[in-house]
Amino acid sequence: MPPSLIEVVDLVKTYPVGDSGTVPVLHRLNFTIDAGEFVAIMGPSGSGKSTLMNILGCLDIPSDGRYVLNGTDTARLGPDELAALRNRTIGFVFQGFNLLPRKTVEDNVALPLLYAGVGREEREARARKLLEEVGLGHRVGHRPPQLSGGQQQRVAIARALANSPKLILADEPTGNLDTHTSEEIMALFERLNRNEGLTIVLVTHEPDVARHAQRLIHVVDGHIAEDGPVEEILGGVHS
Amino acid sequence: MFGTLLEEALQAMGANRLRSALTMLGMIIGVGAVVLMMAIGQGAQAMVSEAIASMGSNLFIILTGSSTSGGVRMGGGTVPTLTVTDAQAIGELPEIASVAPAYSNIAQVIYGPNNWATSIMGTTPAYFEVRDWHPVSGTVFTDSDVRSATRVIVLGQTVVQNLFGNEDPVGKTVRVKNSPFLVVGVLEPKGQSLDGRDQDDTSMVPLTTAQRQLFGNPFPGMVRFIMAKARSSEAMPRAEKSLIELLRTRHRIRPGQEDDFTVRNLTALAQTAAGTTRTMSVMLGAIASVSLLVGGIGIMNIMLVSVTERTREIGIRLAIGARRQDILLQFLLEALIISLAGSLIGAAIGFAGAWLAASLGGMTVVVTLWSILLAFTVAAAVGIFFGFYPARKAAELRPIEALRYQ
Repeated sequence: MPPSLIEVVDLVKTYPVGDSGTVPVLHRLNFTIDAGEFVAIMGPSGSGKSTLMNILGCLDIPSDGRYVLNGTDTARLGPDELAALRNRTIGFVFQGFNLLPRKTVEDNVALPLLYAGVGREEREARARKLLEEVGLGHRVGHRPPQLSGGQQQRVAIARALANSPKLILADEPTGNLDTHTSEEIMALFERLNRNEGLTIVLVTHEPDVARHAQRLIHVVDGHIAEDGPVEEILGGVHS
Repeated sequence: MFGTLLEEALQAMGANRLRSALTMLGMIIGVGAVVLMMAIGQGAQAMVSEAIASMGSNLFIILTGSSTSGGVRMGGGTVPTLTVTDAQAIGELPEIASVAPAYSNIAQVIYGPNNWATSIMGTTPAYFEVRDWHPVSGTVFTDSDVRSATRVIVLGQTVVQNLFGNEDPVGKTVRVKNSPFLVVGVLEPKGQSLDGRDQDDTSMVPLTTAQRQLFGNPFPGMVRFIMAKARSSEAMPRAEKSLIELLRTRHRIRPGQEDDFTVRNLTALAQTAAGTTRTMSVMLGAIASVSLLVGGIGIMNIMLVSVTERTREIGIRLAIGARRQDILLQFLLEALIISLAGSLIGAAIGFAGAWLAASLGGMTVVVTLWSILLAFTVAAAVGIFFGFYPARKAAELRPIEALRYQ
């Protein structure tokens, strides 16, 4: 069996409160995610699922425990090595899209390539190709504010794919979208998982969104309440 | 990578044009002021050194002094105490390179319908050597002219302009005190002296001619002043001492008695003037540098605002894999572009200001490559120095906090 893509061991995250006190957010989490999985992390507001996501995305660091990504213990890495992981191994998709509004769609998608040191022509070609893949080949010269929410999220997904990462992390990717657009975005994720073999971890609080995944990790109050196939936890297809 | 970061920086600046322009204005004023002030300061220095050069170097002027008769002191220049033989004796001193006695007075010079009152100086050919003054056309008179007291005259530029206009005066005859004088040469222009007199408003005739034919000297052999040139600037103090000793001996002045002549070291005077203008020049530069510093602080201020305002953007960049140095370099480049572009425009405005001061204000200005290089170096240093702190602040943001920033 190949080693897991993600290995989380006794992961703890606490936040400082006041001068010396701390508030625990994540309590000794343990799980692994293999390459090729499509995992949904569900939980109510304040359950710590976004904190977990930020740690998985190397945007935040755990207070205790280990997070091993692709065979590397992230605790041993410096800021630049973490930046390299965010750049090449992980593609992050945010609820609020987080596109740079003054740049064109094409430049936004090409930005991770720029930080990877890819030359201009190659950047442009790759950005165009990615935008075509997400169905926005005709919008390369537009700026994000000129696009609809669904289109902006597609741009963000194209950006996440720029450096061919192993892992896509999506934090409430459909939170700002209507039901119809949400379905389209989720279909895009499913396609990427099925056709490209991309590992996708997404955070949501909507069962309908989670149902697109294969596995579901249910986080409640910083503990893992349930972990298993989506159908077993959520039951049969509804609505 | 550097090129694309440069592009990023330019794009960010273009996104907030008014702010970039206002920040740049600080640098423009700073560099403009430095370039202009240095041009004016160096212009003043150039003017002084030109005046010094026009006077001749390592120069002494020995003036007739005061005499005391029955307890009444007569004041400088009242008694003709210097003679041609004094001058010859001075010329034999080892420290002295050349010496020229002079006897001058004001007289009317007439040519055709024009006339002009100017100083007529009777002197020897050594005078032109002492003053380092050469003819632009014709020649100066010779020792044999002095011996035979010929009626030849060498004219200064101002006299030529007033009498001849565009005509070539060499070979023409002018009249001074009803005697005809042949114009043998015209001197090169010297401009103003340190005290603002027009050095070109003069003419020279052989010493003997002036004494015998023009001014009817009551004491034959008397001169009004003697100009002496030392061999080198190092020899000046020694030369001055020897001069005074020699003249005291020759004039039989007992120890304790006042000199009946005055020795002036013109070079020392000139150096004082040069020192003053140098101080002024440095002060102007220092004052202008303050505005450069203020401009730099303006850059830092705006960059700090910009970093705060763009915290979220920095967060996004960090989230998709920008390293700290990428962020640092981007903001540093922005500060550098503002300061360099500002200094470029500032240098141009400083140039224009210097040109205006020269053409409208009639000031002497000197814009040197050095002053521009200095302004650019300082501007770049200011950009890096004041841009570094905000840039580092941006680079050290933690990605998750930067992303959460609203």
